[in-house]
Amino acid sequence: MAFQKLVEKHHKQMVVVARAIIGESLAEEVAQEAWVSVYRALPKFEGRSSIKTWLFTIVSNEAKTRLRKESRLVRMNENEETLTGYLGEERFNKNGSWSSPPPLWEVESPDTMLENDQLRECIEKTLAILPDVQKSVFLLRDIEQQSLEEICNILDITHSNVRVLLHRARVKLMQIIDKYQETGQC
Amino acid sequence: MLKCKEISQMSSDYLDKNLNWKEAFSLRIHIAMCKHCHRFVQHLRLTIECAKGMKEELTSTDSVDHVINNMTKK
Repeated sequence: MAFQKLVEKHHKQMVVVARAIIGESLAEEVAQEAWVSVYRALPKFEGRSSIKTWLFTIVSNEAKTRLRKESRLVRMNENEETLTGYLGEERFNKNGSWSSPPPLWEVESPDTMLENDQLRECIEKTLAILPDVQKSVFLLRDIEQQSLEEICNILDITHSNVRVLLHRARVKLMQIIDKYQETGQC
Repeated sequence: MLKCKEISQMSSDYLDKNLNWKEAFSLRIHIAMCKHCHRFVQHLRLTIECAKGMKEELTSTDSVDHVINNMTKK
């Protein structure tokens, strides 16, 4: 069934988008409601955007509508923390140069790095514990290759917020790879 | 002249080509001269490449059956 294939391919990302807007507890439910809307609207899909963008827009609208109904406040600033200690003040001198420079990585090829199951697990675990909006931005941009403008529309956040959230997510993942390269552990 | 701290903050925008030409040029000059920042930008690029290579793990289909079951009930 073509529809089932569509669900299989995109459901996880739909939940990610929903979670970023409405939070963990209602994300799965909203994503499922969105699939009902998709099912009904599919015959009218004209292909003016990619199917993925169209799906993300539907789930995004579904989540926003639900959010209004629930009269909740979306916490888009849940990741207002600083860039952790990893790029904190102590990493730099007063003149802004590195006091603790990035360590050399033993393995510097993505293919070779990904042959290491333990490292893959570390990356997966780190991504799982990122704040929802940060994780959504990262997945939409670096995994799904959506443009920053599309991400702004889908998640209803500003361009500068998308850029900051994306950088934070990437740096957190880089931090875990750094640690793994140094200690062999997450 | 950009400082290392600024390079660490601008590097995602650089990789995404979100800097204006002047900022991008200044950053390139800096990383040509600073091995630490060169390494930082290189590591950030590698991190992105690694994550791309893990698409399978990040897009599992755990609840697909549940969705389909739900659909057939509606």
